Amino acid sequence: MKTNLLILCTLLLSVGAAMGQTYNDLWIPDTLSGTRFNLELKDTLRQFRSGTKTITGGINHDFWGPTLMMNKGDTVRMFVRNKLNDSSTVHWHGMHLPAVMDGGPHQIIPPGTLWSPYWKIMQKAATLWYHPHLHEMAQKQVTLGLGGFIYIRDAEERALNLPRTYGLDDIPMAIGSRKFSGNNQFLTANAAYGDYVFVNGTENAKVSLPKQYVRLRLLNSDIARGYNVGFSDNRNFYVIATDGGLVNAPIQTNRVILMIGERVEILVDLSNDAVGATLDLNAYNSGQNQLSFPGAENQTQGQFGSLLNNRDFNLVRINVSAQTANPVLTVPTTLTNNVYWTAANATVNRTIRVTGGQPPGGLFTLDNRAYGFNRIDQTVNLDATEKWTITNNQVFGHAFHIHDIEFKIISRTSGLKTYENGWKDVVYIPRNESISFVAKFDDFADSDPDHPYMYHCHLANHEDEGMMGQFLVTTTTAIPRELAAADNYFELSPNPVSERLNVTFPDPSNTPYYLILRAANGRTIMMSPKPILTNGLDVSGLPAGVYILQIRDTKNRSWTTKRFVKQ
Amino acid sequence: MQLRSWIAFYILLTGLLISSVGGYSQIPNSKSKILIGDFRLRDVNGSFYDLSESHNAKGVILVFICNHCPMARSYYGTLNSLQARFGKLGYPVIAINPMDSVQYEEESWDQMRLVAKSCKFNFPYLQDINQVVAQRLKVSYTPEAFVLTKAMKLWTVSYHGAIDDGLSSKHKSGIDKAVSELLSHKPVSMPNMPAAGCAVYYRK
Repeated sequence: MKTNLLILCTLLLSVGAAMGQTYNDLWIPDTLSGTRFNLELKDTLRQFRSGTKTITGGINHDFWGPTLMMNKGDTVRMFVRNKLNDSSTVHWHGMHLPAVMDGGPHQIIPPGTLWSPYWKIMQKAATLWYHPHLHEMAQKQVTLGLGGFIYIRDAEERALNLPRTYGLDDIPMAIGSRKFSGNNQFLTANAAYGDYVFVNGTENAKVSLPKQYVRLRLLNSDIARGYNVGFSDNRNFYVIATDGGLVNAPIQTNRVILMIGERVEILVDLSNDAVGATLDLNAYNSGQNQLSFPGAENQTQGQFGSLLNNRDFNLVRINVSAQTANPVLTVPTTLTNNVYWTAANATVNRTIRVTGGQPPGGLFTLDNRAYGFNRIDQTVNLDATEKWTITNNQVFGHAFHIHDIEFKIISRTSGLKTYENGWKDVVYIPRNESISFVAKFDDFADSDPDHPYMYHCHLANHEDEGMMGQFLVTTTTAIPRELAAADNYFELSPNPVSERLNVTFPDPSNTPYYLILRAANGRTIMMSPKPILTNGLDVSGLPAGVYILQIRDTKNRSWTTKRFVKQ
Repeated sequence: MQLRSWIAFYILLTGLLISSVGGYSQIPNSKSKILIGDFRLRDVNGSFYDLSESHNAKGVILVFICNHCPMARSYYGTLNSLQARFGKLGYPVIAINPMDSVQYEEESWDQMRLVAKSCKFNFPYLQDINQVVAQRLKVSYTPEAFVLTKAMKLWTVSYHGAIDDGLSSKHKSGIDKAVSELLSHKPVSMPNMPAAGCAVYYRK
């Protein structure tokens, strides 16, 4: 028996050693640029393990999605086709935009449907991301691989001497772990933490980076694990941007804790490394507070167990390569001039309490209420500057995220981390801490309770279980609901139609709020928030048949339904 | 086979609960003792397939597949091979599409015909248009396979789960292993294997 055990141990060790020596090229997502973005969500398969392929979800790919390059000032139009077997949503995480375009749990895209939101990019250069946000399905759909980066660029950032050659000295890195079932499928429930870490979907990733300053855009795209990121030689690096964009001046550090949904852009100096040298970007997750840091638990088995728990492990192996032409060899001393709000600016104070979680394993909630799809928890006046305090006196840490705005953290019980000194939309709240932030809720008011913004814990399992609330930004107290049906709200011509369907509105002051096109059997074909119909609706691609057009107006929020025949 | 072995076999059959793995590959229960009533569904060739008329079959390899699920699609070739090997031995492949054709445009009968033709299906491809057969068998995913055996004119489930484990074709598993054992008059040694694929949503 002893001999057998010895052989087994030797085998396991040699397998481990062999695995440790094998690296795969880090996948760098391709980019989409311009103002019209076509995204196709689809079920896919990928050979992660020998035997049965793993069912994955991809956006234009078999895992993850393209990086969307957007420019401040542009109006971007998204054409999101859901080719998944399941319904989904796509949330533009960190984007300042109208709630009806936000892709939260209310903007459900049924299978086979095209969703086409649009908005003007009003915020500064930043690293954002997009991911599904369907309530109770977030963990599953993010685990499958649905998501992608968004880079917002602007003139201010472009004027700085920073690395920005995508894939060369400006590298997106989405960090997440996965756990496999016996038949090679991702575990998407009752498993908070993955056993294996992937960066952009690449396991044991390696990347060649030039001998100069390089910019890494780190995103924690995990379900529930936090990452305490640093380099293998403990070298210092500079945080140049937080969730919402550039910080005022580079912040030197040798570790950054990155909670779920958070992003940082870091500059690391490779100019003193020899060509051919290696450097590891690691997660230093051992020794964190086991009752507070997600993934610091001891156990390897069970719902909160993982082979990576309470361990230090490699994220990406960096191989230093030759310097490029026009390398960045210095760090700018100043980056931008953010003027942050302070508590003195706030006219409203709110407190959100982390609740639940007891007995151990019980569901976490906010303010003792599980998520209510039809309940508005907070109403904020347009242009109000508010101070929100999140208190966590419960048994575990959380990552609090709010939609619509970027905030400035003004206090934290244990003191602000130096690298938190920037615009944020996710904040780590360890147990027995409270944090306060100040934010201005500007630009987008919509009192429609059918399309609220969200605030929630970004641990997807907590979010799915109901640790989420809804808020409206409003200029009025309420929207009239379902007033008298307006049969004449819109008119269609010609009918029957073959090419372009003209949609006219007898009352031009009452704009369309939402449009849904359905097949005669009720199947949703297209959903268009605040549709622009000045040139009519192009129906040339539809097969001949009867169709249903439903439009909800802005004044009364009534749905009007008309049929037309496509010849 | 001795009585004790049979008892152990049935305990194995009825006791094998495959644990949930998060939305995929969950098999709610062993269906080994469920008796399957007959059904009559329309084939892509326009005729109706009636299970009760499978007079000459020892059993049936019943596989729920569809047009849009990549996991199901990846098994079309395997199903042609299974039919070629086992059809003549009394275990024909019957494929059923359980997907809601109202929800999924690509699951219409017309689209099924195109798929069957382009992929040269050598087996019937039936549309469960009202999802009744799938509901009766509590089908959760496509692909999801059942090996039915006939005894005393009644159909019972001898195997349920994945088509195979995805390893090389030399390594028998899933349907192949189960039917080979049945043809050798042996008990099915692995009567369940977790299925994985696209969830089947039942029309309300």
